[in-house]
Amino acid sequence: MSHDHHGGGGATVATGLRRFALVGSPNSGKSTLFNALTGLRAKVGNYPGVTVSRYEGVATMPGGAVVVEDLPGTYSLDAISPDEQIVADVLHAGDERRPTPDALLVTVDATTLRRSLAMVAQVLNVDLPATVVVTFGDELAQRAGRLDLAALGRALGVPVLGVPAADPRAVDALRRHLADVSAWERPVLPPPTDPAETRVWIDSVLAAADYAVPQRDRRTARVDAVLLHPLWGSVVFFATMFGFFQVIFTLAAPLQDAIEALFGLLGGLVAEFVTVDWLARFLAEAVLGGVGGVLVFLPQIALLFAMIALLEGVGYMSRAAFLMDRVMARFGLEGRAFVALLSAFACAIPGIIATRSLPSARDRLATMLAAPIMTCSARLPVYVMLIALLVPAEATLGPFGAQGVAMFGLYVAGALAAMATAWVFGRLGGRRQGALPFYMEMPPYRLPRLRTVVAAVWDACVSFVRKVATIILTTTIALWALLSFPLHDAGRLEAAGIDPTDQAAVAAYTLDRSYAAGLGRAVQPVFEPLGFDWRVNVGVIASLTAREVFVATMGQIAAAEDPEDPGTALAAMTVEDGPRAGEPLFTPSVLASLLVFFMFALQCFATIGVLRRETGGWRWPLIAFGYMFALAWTGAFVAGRVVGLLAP
Amino acid sequence: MTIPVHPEPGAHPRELRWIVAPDLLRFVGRPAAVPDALGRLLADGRLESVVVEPGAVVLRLADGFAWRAEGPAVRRALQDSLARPEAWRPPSDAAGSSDVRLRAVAERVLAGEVGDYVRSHAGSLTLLGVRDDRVLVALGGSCADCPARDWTLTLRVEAAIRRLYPELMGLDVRPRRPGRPTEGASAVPA
Repeated sequence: MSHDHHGGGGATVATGLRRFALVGSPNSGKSTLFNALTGLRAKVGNYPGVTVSRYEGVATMPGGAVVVEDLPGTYSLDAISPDEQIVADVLHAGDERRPTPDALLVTVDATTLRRSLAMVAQVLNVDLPATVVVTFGDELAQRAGRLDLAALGRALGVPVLGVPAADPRAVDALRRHLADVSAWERPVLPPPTDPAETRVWIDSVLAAADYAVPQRDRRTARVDAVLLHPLWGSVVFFATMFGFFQVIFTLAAPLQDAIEALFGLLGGLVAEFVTVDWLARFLAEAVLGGVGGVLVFLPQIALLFAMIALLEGVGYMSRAAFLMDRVMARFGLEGRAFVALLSAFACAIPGIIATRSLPSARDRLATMLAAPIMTCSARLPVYVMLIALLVPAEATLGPFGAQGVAMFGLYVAGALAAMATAWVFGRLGGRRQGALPFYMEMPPYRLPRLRTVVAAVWDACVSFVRKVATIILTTTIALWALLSFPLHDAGRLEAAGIDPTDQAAVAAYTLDRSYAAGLGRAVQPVFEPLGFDWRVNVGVIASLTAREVFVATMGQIAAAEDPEDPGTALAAMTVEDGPRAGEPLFTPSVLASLLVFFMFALQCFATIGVLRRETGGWRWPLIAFGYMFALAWTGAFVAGRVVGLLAP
Repeated sequence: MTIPVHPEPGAHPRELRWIVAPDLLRFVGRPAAVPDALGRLLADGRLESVVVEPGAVVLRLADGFAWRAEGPAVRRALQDSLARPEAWRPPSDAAGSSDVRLRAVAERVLAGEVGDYVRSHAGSLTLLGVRDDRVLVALGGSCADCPARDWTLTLRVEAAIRRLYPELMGLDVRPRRPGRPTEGASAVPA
């Protein structure tokens, strides 16, 4: 998946404009401010570590356009992790490779001012004009805290503006302020750099600004007493996730039916009005059967991202990370690794990029190699299709839908497998470097901003449709050609005992002797032990570009076999060659093998590309592909055998 | 323990107001003797002057010196000297009296931000005197009949004075007409 899937997308930015860089601690409202200034949609979450790379956008100001750059959130400018390195590099004036900003905006969360000031002290030592933007001032007041902004400005020697939660009037004031950087007050003497001296400087500044620490949010404290409880917290966490997968199946089903009905209608129109035979087949099989078969899963994708955005916006994701940190610690992994793995629920790519916040190179690599195993949204269509074949829709386990339970099980298994992988690679990486500091912010619960949730869902849907329209469509067209050629003349057909006027028989004959069938049969020795036949093999090979292509391929083949009702054709497929010829193809054991195969295999060009970029070479992507294929094959083999014994 | 200080801009480019705890140095004015490291900076001519204000020590560098270069050393010298506040000698015995200190605080508050606030509402606030840790002011302009004046007096004026002079006992307002004390503030005969 393309990277901008998860973040609005940095605009291509003209050079020569005045540049402002946003710096600040994680979760200090940087990205909210960035979005308010530029109108772009950087991903905003009530969840530290959301901005994992740089975003740039153009903001219109009273004095003309300026470039605003959103830097990753860091607690200091000491470059320990790659994230902090980015910030340090950008602020380093001597670096020719990137433009140095003309001025800095430092976002400071009023509710955690003491810690934020350590960062401000470092930023004020960078010789650039700076303005401190105090966020969450409204929350400070609600929680009986106190802060005199004017006095803070005097103490820091730079302008201080309060911009609570992107209040439009405050943002306008900030815009006017940005128009004239030359008028910004600069500190006569920057704060001390020695940590001990900085501490007393902060004491003095806080006293001068009449700062009173906010009371702990009482609601947050009460809710956390349950949600962070080792037992009840875990129960709630699993119940939340469990409920989520029930929702995916029950809520998405009617929407999915509607989309299917639409494609059925289109199929009817194609059959009726498109008279060119090959074009009709192309439209029915490749476009409607293949691409349409993937697009049906749009409701599930939308629900998945809505749910993630809601949990992030409320502030629950940090709690989940905190709970899991205790588990992770047992495996020798730090909490930040879990944060990265959690991002991989949406897509492995942001998960891999999020490892930049890990200071230890060894942990970073281990987490990167584990992230693609987390159940990303591309697996969702594959899982939904296979589960529908394996588990009847009306089956229940107690009060719950069995399909939802199966999906939940797959997600849990994927997460456990990912953590185990990270642990193994962490061990292989050699000795632990001393424990590096881990700081997990526990933000107060906040109402999610509707705009943020809608934007997350919209971006995900747009990106999914774009992916379907590009990589999946291309692969599907190529596959259609491979599945439909060579064509056979009437003489050849008759020689084989096929009536050239019987279209279904001709299609079946052509399919069975297509280039793709040849390819599928060529790799048959590899997949034979898993119970796959050549059609599944073609699907699996094609899905190396993107996992959803598997659904598109199976949809195409089914549509070729029975254009009227591809769903039934898929379920009724039988094995064509070998010892199992004539038996049903999708037996429980084959389905189990396929599910496990898809759980582990690295079938995503985009992920491989990002791995190469983040590790700086082909070595690790190749290792990742190799070990994940071995894991997938072995796991699929074992799963197939076990299920074969249980449900022969 | 290191004494918390931080600088704020002064009236002159070579001047910085170093904010210190208001109850640390219990006098105002140019000290007769500055101890330890800061005293040495004054003696060797790097510092032109040291003046104690309510809640601040104003340091002016000698001509030819800049804060960017001298700042870290001066900061450490100041913190070193402030660790022995009893060794700072007031300019005179009177400069260490509570009346002189309280007057300096009240003047500073009325001339500063709080006074600006009152003036921005077309009011006026005049310092009439200090005695026994109490401040006496007169209200004029729009304050005279303002229903919010007690809020302003308590929450802004009195609070600002108390932050720089924690021993403050009270703020009194001269009655507008003899025999009719202003509500909310106890009257003392002028």
